[in-house]
Amino acid sequence: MTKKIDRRSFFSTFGKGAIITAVVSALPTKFISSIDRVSKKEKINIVIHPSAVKRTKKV
Amino acid sequence: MNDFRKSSDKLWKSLKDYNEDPEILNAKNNEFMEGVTDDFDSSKLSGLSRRKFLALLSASAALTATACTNYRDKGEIIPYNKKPDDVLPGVANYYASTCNGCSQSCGILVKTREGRPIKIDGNPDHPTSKGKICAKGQASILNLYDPERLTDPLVLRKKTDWKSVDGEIINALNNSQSSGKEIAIVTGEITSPTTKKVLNDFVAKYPNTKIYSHSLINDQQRRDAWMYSYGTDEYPAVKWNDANIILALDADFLGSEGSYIENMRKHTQRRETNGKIDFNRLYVAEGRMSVTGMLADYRFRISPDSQYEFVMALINELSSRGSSIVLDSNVKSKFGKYSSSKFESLIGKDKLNYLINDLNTNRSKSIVYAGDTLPKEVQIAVNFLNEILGNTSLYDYANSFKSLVKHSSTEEISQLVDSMNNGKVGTVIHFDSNPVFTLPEDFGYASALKKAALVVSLSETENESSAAGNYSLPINNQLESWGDAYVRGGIYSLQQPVIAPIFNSRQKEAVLLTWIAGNSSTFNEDIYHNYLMNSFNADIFSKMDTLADAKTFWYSALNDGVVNIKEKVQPNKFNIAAFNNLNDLSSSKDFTIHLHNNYFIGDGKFANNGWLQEIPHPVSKVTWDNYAAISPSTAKNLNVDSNDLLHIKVGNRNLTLPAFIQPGLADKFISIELGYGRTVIGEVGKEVGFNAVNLMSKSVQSSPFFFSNASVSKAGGKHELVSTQEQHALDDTFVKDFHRIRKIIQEGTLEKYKKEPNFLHEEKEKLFSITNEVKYTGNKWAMAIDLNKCTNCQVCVASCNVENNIAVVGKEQVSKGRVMQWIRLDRYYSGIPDEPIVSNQPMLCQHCDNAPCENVCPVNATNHSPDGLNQMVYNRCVGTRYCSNNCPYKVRRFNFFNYRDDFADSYYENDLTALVNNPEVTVRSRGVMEKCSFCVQRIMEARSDAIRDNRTLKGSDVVTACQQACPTEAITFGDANDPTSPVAKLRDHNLSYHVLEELNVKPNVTYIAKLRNTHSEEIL
Repeated sequence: MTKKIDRRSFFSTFGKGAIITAVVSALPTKFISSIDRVSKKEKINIVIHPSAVKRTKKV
Repeated sequence: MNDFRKSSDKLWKSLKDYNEDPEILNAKNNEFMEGVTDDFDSSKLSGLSRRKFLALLSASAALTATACTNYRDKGEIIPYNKKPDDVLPGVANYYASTCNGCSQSCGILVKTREGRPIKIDGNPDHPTSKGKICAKGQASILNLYDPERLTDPLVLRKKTDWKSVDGEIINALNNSQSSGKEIAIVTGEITSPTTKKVLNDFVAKYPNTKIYSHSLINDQQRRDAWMYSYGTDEYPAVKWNDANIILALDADFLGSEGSYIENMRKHTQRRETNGKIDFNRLYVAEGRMSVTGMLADYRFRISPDSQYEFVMALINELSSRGSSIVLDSNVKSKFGKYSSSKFESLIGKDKLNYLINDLNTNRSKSIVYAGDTLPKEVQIAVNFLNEILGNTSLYDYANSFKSLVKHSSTEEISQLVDSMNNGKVGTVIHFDSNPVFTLPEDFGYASALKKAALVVSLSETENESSAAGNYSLPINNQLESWGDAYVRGGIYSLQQPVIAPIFNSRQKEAVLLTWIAGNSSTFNEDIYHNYLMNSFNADIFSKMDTLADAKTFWYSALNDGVVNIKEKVQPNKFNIAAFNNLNDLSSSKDFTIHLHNNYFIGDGKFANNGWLQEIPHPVSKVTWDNYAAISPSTAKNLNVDSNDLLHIKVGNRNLTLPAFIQPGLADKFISIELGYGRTVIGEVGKEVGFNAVNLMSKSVQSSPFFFSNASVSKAGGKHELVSTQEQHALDDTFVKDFHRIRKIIQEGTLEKYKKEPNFLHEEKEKLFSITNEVKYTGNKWAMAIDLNKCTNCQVCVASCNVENNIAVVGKEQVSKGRVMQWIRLDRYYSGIPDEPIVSNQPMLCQHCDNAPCENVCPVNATNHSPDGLNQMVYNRCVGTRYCSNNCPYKVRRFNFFNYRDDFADSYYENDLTALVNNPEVTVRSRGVMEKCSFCVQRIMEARSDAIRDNRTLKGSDVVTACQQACPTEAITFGDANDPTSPVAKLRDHNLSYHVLEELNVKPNVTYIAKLRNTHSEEIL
C-alpha cells in the first residue's frame, strides 16, 4: 500500500532536498580532500641527471 | 587462381575452428563476446513508482554533486622558474645508452620529455641492433616507474638508511674475512667489463670472496661445445644474410634466442620482394612451435631428444657427397651407423631429400644452427657438419659473442651450497640476481641460505632471494645508471643515466665500491661515474687512434652510445677429437619435456610489467600465463583438452600446470616456457603462470633444458588460459573458408611468382562506388606491411603500447575480449593440425577512405581528416560502439572501464606510473572508443617542423612508432600521393593487396603477400 503524501508536502520535501544539495555541493570537499592527499603523499621529484649527454644529432 | 593451397585446405585460427566447433561458429556469428553487448533486460528491473523514482533522482543528484565524481587532483601546471639547461618544454631530448634487459646489451636511444624518460627505441648507430630493440626493451620503460620498486634500504623488511647499512655490512665483511669465512657474490650474467673490474677489486679487498655467475636462460651448452670444438667459449655470429639455406634445429633464432633482433634483420634481407629477388630457404626441425618454426618454408616435427640422431644422419648423408675437411675411418665410423631413412617416415622422403640436396648444393652458402637448449653433443655435431659443408665461411668472427665471467658450473654452485650448510659462508651478496628463483630446487640453495650469517640482496624490487635474506638494498634502474657492455667483438657500448635516481637507490657497482673503500662516507653519486671514466680512458681511449682529448672522446662516445674497436680475430681450427669423443645420445620413447625461454618476461625479471604480460604469445596468443603445450594427438591419447591441468613428474620433481593444445608439436612431447610463477614480486606479476624451474635439476641428463624420462597424467581440475586469437573474429558463418575465399590471407610461392608475377591480380574486379569519391590533394597517409618480412615478433605492439599510452586491462578483462592493444597480430593456420602452415598478419585500423565506422557515429566522434586519417575525437565519443560494430576489420577498442584506475592486476594509476605517459597522446578514460591513429602526434610534430623550416611536409618525415620499432622493416609509412615514396611504390607492387577489398571501403593499409620458397608452385 503506497503511503499517500499531498502535493504540497511532496514539493516541500523536494525543495528542501534541492536546497541541501545546493549547500552540500557548494562545500569545498574536493579542496579539503586534496589537502589531505597532498599532505600524506611524498611528491615525486624528477631531476634530470646532471652528467647525461644529450644527443646533438638528429635521431 | 589466386591461392595455391590445396582446395581442400582452409585457414583456421585454432583447433576448435578447424573442427568447426559450434562454440566458435557461434562466437564468429556474434562478433562481440557473450555479455559484451547485452542490453538491459527490462523484465529483470524492479517495478518503481513515480514517487520513488523522483526520490532516488534527487538523492542521486546530491550524491553525484558531493561524492561520486571521478575527480582527481592532478596538481597544477607551473612553468619552470629556473629552467634546466637543455630542456625546452614540449621538445623531446634523446640520450644514447645501453639496455641491460638481457645479456645482448643492445644499444638504445631514450626519449625524454621535461626530464622524464617516456620511450625507448634502438640506437641507429649501434652496429648490431641498428636502431631496433625487442619488446622487452621497448616496454622496460615501465620498470622505471614501477611503484613496487624498493624505495629505501631495508633490514629485515624494515626501512633503514644507507649509512647504517654500509657500516653494518662493512663490519660483517671484515668479520667474514678475519674469521676465514667465504664471502659469496652471486651475480647474473656479467656483460660489463667495468663491473667485472669492480668485482675483481672487491676480491682484492676481501680475498675470501668468490664470484658465482648464474642465469636461468643461457647459452652455456653452445659455449661448452665451442670450447671442445675450437678451444674457446667465444663463438662467432652468423652471417644470416649470406646463407642461401638455413637449417635451424630447435633454434628459435628469429624469436627468442641469442641476438634475435639482429638475426631477424639479416634473415629478412633475403626476403626482399623489391628489386632482385634472392630468397633464402628456411628449414626448421623442432619439437615445439616457435616463431622461427612459424616462418619456415619447410618444418619438421623432431623433438629435442632426436636431434642428435638427426644431425648424425645428415652428416652421414652429406659427407658421402664430399667434405671440406679430411675424414678418417674413425670419424666415419662415428656417424656411419646413423641413417636418414629413420626420419623419412617422420618428415617425408621428399622433404628430407630437398633438405639434403639443398645443403649439398649450397656448400659454404648454408648454415646449420642448433638451439641454445640442445646439449653440447648436438652442438659439436652441428659444428662438425658445418665444417664438412664448408659453412664456416658464414661465421662472423669479428662479431663473436664475448665471455667476460664464466657461467658457474653445477659443481661450483653445489660447493657453495655445501659451504653454506657447513657454516663456512659468512656473507652472501645477491648482485642483481635471484638464485632462489632461478636455481633448481634440488640444489637446496634456499634452505642453505638460512645458514649464512648475512644475506644481502641488491635489486630493484623485492624478489624470492631478497625475501630470504637480511638486507634488501635498492639499486638504480638502467635509466638511472652508468655502465658499459662488451658482449660482441669490436663493439663497446656505454650506458648513461637519463634521470637522477627517483628513489633512495644506488648504483649497484657504487655500493660495492663503498664497501671496498670500507667507509660509508666514501659514497657519492659520482663514485662509479668516475670509476667508469677512468676505466674507459685506460682500456678504450688509450687504444683508439684519435686526435681528440680524453674528455672530448668520452662525451662523443656518450653521444653515440657506442665505440667501435678494431680487434684482430683469428678463427680456430676444428678439433676433430671433440667429435670423435662424443657421447652418443639416443632418442627417448617416453615423454620428453622441453623447457625454454619465453618471449616477453625474460628470466622473470619483467614479470611485474603489465605491458609485457599482456602481449599475446606470438604463437598461441595466450596472455598472462604459461602452460604445457602438447600436440593434438598427444592430447587425445591423454584425454585432455586445453585448460585441463596436467601433472608432470620427472624423477622426484613435480609440476602441475594447464595444458594447451598446440598444433604442430611433436607427439609425446611437452614444451613449457620458463620465467613464470614468481611468488615474491609486485601485484602485477605475482603467481602469474607456473614455475617450470621446479622440473629442472642439478643432475643434468644431456641438457638442463629437456628431460626424456617424464611421466605425464591428467591431474583433474582446470585453469583458464586466456588467448586473444579467437577474439575479434571476422564473421564467416555465411561463407565457408572465409579467410581464403575472401582473400584476407593471400600467399603464393616464389616459383609461381617468378613465372607469373601478376598472379595475385589475375581475377581483380573493378569496384564502383555509389558516392562521390573524395579527392585528397596534399599528403595522404598510408601504410604498407610486407608479410614476407613480418615475423610476428610483437615488437610493434610493445612500441605502440608505450607511444600511445595503451592501458593494461588484466587477464580477466582479456578473457572478455577487452584487450586494448591497437595492433592485433593475427595468426592463421592452414593444412592439418599436426603439420600446420602458419600465416601471420598484423591487423590495425586501415584508415579507410570510405570508412564504415564514420557513417554510423551519431556524434561525429570518428571522422576523416583532409590528409586521409580516420581520426577519433575522444571528447565527443559517447560510447555507442556503433563504429566498432560496423568496422569490418574489428580493430576498434572500447574502454569498458577506466583501466588505469579500476584493476588491481592491471596498469594502475598512481603518481609514479602516470609519469610513463606520452604527453602528446590523450589518456583515454571509461566510455571512450579508441584505435590506431597512425601516430597522429608524430605527423603533427613533423608538420610543425616543416612549417617552421618553411618546407613542404614529406611522407618520409613521419615515422610511426610501429614502423620505427619493426626489426625487419616490414612496415612502411608515408605519403601515398607522392609517387616517389616507398609506400606509393608498394601500393603498386605486384604482390600488394588490401584485406576485404571487395567491400570498397578503400583501406589505406596495403599488404604485400607472402611468398614461400618451396620447391613447387604449391604451398606444401
